[in-house]
Amino acid sequence: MRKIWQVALLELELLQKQKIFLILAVLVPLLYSALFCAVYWKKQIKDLSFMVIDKDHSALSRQIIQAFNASPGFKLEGYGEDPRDFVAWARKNRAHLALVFPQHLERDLKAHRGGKVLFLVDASSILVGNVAINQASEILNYFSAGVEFKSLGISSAYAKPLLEPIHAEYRVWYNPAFNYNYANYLLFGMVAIGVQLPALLLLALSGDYREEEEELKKLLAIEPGWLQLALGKTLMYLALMFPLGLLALTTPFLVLQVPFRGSVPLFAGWFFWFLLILDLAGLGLSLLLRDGLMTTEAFAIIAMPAFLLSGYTWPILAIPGAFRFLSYALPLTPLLFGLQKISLEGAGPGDLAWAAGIMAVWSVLAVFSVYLGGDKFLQAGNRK
Amino acid sequence: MSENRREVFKRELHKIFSDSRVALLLLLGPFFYLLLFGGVYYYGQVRRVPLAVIDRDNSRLSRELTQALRSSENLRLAFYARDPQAFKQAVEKGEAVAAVVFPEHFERELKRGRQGRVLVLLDAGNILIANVAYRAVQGVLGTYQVKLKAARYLARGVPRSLVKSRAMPLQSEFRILFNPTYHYGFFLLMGLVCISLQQVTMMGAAIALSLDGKLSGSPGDEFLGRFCAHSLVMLPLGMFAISLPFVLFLAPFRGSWPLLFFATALFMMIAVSTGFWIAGICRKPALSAQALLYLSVPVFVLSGFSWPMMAMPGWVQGLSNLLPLTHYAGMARRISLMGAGLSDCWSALLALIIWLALSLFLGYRGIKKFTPAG
Repeated sequence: MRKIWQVALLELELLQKQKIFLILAVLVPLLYSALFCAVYWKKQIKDLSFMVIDKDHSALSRQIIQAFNASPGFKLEGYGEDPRDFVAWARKNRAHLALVFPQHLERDLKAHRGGKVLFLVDASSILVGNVAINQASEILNYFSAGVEFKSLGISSAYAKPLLEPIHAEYRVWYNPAFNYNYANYLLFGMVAIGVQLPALLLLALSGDYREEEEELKKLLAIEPGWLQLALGKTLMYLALMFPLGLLALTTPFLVLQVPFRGSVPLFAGWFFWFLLILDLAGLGLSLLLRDGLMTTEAFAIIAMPAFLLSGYTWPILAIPGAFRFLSYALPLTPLLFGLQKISLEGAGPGDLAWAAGIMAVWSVLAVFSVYLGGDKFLQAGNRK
Repeated sequence: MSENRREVFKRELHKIFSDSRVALLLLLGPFFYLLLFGGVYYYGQVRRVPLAVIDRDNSRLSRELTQALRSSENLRLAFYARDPQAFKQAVEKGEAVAAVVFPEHFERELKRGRQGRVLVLLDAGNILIANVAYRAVQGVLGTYQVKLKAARYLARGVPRSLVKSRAMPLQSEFRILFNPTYHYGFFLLMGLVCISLQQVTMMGAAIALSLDGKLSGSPGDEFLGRFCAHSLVMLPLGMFAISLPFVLFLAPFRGSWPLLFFATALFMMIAVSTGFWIAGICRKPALSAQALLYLSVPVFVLSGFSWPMMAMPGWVQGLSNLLPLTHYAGMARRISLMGAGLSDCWSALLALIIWLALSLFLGYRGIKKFTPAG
């Protein structure tokens, strides 16, 4: 125990000498968290610019335009003459949706011949395209129901089964404003990346003693075994990154009122387990390579695509087989799965079984990695 | 090119190909990320979302509707649940995303001319999946809605030729432009390639410079020699990498290749010079690499490529507009997916040219710090 403590104190000394790395690692989770909260502050995609090509010039077309403009989702950008105008406007980022009213729309509707409104949607950004289609359908369906109701000429109680024979009631769980509120869904995963990256990068220098020969001598003088070396060093990183990471992860719940439905101890415990795995595995690699730059590059290869592979944004069920395996093999995947299930859905330990299984396998790999790295490091140090 | 500049140029070129820490990053980095991201988004669409059915009616109609839901290419019938509680448990285990509940007497009510009610339960923890399930269920129910409406209008004596216009008087037709299949790969892959290119180019330039430590030549010679060497390697590599999504993953390309290549060349030169600048600030190779890694995530988020800039608060939009990636990635998407031309992209090109001038100055200052003059 004494040796572990001595190694931990020496690691603290080493960290103090690499102040700039330490400051970056301390600031980054909090800065990321603050920045991402700012980026997703509005939570929704609103005020989509739309253009109108009105060949009908009727009271109905004007009413529909007014309804679109009054909705928080849309903002009238201007009028065009031809559907081709929309392509030019979209390329210049001036409009994302065009409403095309054909000639005689109102006249045809009054004569019970039916009419069609054409929507041109810019789907180059799928998020924008999705919001445009969903909200435009809602507004037009409302008008369509109004026209149909008028044509029936019966009371609303009788009209209901005719207008809508099957009434579908949607109950949306865990993110009730799901079509529009991206903060509940995306923000948290982004912050997790901001926690993983500094936790890894700070470790990159832990095995690099090429410019710290005195420190290396002091460390070897303690004569630690690989386990004492690993525990002593890990202790320091956990003590630093665990409270910082937890603070960053909880910021979206505090600042943007993202709902938290689960158990705080389970949430904290799940994160601690992940951080322990990350620290042990990362430390193992750092001790093995003993080169801060090489280790940083290796961590970059793992950390950068981990978020996309984690299934947090792009679902794992839509990832092809071989890449799906890679997705399950990364520890960030069970971390994000667990944290999201606990916080958004109030899941308990029993619901996290498969994720816990992956974490357990990773725990074994992490211990093996730190054994391998620690042993090689001590051998190389003693030879020197 | 003066003798000194030529010497620096040759030395730098040699290092790019011989030092494994630089060579692997610059020569393999863009392709590693491209293949990885391209693979992840290969299918491009979310399909076969697991669905549960809670059928308390057990009628011909509820079974028919279940069969229709089952036939949708976007849904997969995972299991029949007894009650919503069983579905909730499945959701928590990640085994189902949506459930359709047919209440008792569902068919009987419809046959009597009343309104039939269906309850749809949706786990919206992941908006992408929930959206697909929502639309698929809505599509199936919508089709039946129209069928039933038509039958009821016929029963009321409306002539068959008028049924359609009476049942759906005001129809909407959506024409999805630029990405009609809603392919996520076409939407995101280009942005991911842009950020990868920026990342490896900047890191390569910064690491190569800071590995050298002290430089003996004049700042001007050192800057020009290194800038030319990195540009000579990275410009063609960047152009090759940016064209691969269209070749390998068959993403549609509707615009002008020369315009995209010109923008890519500007962007790569900005990345090289900015890499020198960051190296001048950080001095140590590991610190330069880490600083650039820390910058990459917020830069991508701020670029507006995934989360649209219009949905960011005003001051964040200002910050986003200051980044070269915002202009380049936005332009790359507009050129490739929307077929935008010079007249649509001139403001973004202008922003990149201003950035290039600024980055050349900053890159020179960065290199100067490694020379005796600094």
